[in-house]
Amino acid sequence: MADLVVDLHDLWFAEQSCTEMAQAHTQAASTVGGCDAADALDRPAGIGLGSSGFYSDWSYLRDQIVGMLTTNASSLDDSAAAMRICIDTFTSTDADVAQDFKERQAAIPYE
Amino acid sequence: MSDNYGDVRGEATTLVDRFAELETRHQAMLAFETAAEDGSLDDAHAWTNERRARELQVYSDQWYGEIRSWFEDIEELFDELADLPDPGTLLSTAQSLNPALSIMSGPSGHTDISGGTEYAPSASFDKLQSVPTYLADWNGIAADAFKSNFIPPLERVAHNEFEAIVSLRSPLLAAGEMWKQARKDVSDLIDETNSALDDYEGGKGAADAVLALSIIGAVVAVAAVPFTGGTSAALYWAIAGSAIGVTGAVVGYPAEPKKELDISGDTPADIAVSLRQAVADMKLQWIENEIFIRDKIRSLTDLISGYTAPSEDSPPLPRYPNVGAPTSGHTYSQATVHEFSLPRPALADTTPGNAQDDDHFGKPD
Amino acid sequence: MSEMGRHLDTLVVSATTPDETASATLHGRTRVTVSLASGYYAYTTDDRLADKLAQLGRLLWVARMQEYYRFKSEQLGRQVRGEGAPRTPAQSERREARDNIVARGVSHDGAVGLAAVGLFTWTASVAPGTARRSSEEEFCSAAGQAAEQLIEDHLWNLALVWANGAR
Repeated sequence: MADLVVDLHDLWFAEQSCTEMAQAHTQAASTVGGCDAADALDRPAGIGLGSSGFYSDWSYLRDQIVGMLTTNASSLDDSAAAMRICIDTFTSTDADVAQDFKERQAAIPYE
Repeated sequence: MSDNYGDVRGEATTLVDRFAELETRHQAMLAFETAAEDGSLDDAHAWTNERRARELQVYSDQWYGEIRSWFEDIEELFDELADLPDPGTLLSTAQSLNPALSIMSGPSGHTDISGGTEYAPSASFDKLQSVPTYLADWNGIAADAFKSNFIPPLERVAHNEFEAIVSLRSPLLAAGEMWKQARKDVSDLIDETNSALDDYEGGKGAADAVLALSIIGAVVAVAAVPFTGGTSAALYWAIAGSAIGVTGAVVGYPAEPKKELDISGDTPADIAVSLRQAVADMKLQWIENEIFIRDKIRSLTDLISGYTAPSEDSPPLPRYPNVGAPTSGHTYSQATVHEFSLPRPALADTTPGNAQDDDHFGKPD
Repeated sequence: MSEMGRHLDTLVVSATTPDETASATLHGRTRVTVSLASGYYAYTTDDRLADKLAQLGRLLWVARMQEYYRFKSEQLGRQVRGEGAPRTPAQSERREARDNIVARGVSHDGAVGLAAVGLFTWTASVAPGTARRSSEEEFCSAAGQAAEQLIEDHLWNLALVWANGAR
């Protein structure tokens, strides 16, 4: 049982790390998605590539980058969720494991 | 050079007034000489000062309005040039992406090679390399795949994401530099035109030197802002991963239709012609510069979609997925796509019912 | 009006003969003042005075031309030293016609007469007896009047020649 608790505690560390990395991706996606160059590129229609310059290509690339950040965020987030499910399935059926796991979490916190 | 850009419209109106005034005088002198030749006026060279002033006034009262109308298009020309994109707004928009770079700098940190800024390791990623160790005793199929296929490339992919954000920012920095120089060129054009009119007015031939477009200097700056790291292009894509078969694909220079603008002419009207031509040449250069930037953006879009052009000389169009299917010259690689977006791990689809199955986490050894 | 126009209206340029006996200053576009070294007027002759004026006219216009290009260079942020080579035969002819403009000016009392070809070659005449008859102040004032009239005459003829040379 001691080994199972150690493994669950390790799994919990992996879950926390994946959650943090998912959040980083989500936050980056939000920053990138919130960046809009429409006003900055605005000018009269007779200048450069027209009134919005290269905006449509730029915003397409931006959305693509938001897309890949979001995809990676979901993969990490859902994997973290899977790890929580796994921890739950082992702790919900055995009160002693649950108790030992809780104590180990308190003794070796994630930081 | 004076900085006229703050009041381009006012400067243009003053310029049109000068064209009209000097062309009126020019036309008056032609008229006096012609009239002397056909005998309807006596020799203008011999007039008294009073007579000179009077004759000029009579001529100007009659013709100034019409002559001014010959130059009024110049005001419209500059009306458009007065509203070029604001370099400051472009710069601040570009910089608003910096927080995303800080977050995505990965477990080891990265240098933003476009500006040399060092981004410290991101705390969110500090246990990334330990995740496989944490999962060492979880040997279900999905857990093993997660340890060996998802986590190990994640650091590299996060770096590619970092570089992609840098590449999204670069066009805005490049455009900021470009329009800053373009505004200077507009301002210089006004100065050069006034100078040409000064020479006409003072009875002097045009000077030899001509106005070198500073936008050409900006072209170098545009190219130096790395979509792929400028001179460090090879390094950039080496970092981006061996799966990406692109070497320096997007380093180059925009076409340069005209490097120098020559504002001169034997008469005010001729000078106006050269001014109109110079504005056209300048605007053409802006189009070339923006096409250059746009094509860099398209190359990256193609790359993230898995499509790469066969060589750096290949045209970026037609392209996937904006414009139908890729050309036969473009090659598709799913591995390239995965350098940016990792395939969803099977582990992510675990449910309470299957978590302990051998297909998923299994039971720890 | 352009920056150059405003500058030409208000500039002040001076020239002095190599022997430092006579100086002239151009104020704005046409006004000229002349002065002589202290004590010089009392011992000089009409011919020598005429010679000084001819020298001053040339030197003053050279100084004015240099100032024009100095200011232009400042305005444009690049060095402009003078006209470029003519690009067409018409331009050469127009410049030649300009350089051959003969301009004249005479003082109100008729004592000082000036003539210049293209403002490069100046000749001056001082009526016999002027140095003995007129005060130094009267002479200098007369020289200024003649110069101002000459410059106005030149500028008018320049406008005619320059416009017609472009035909």
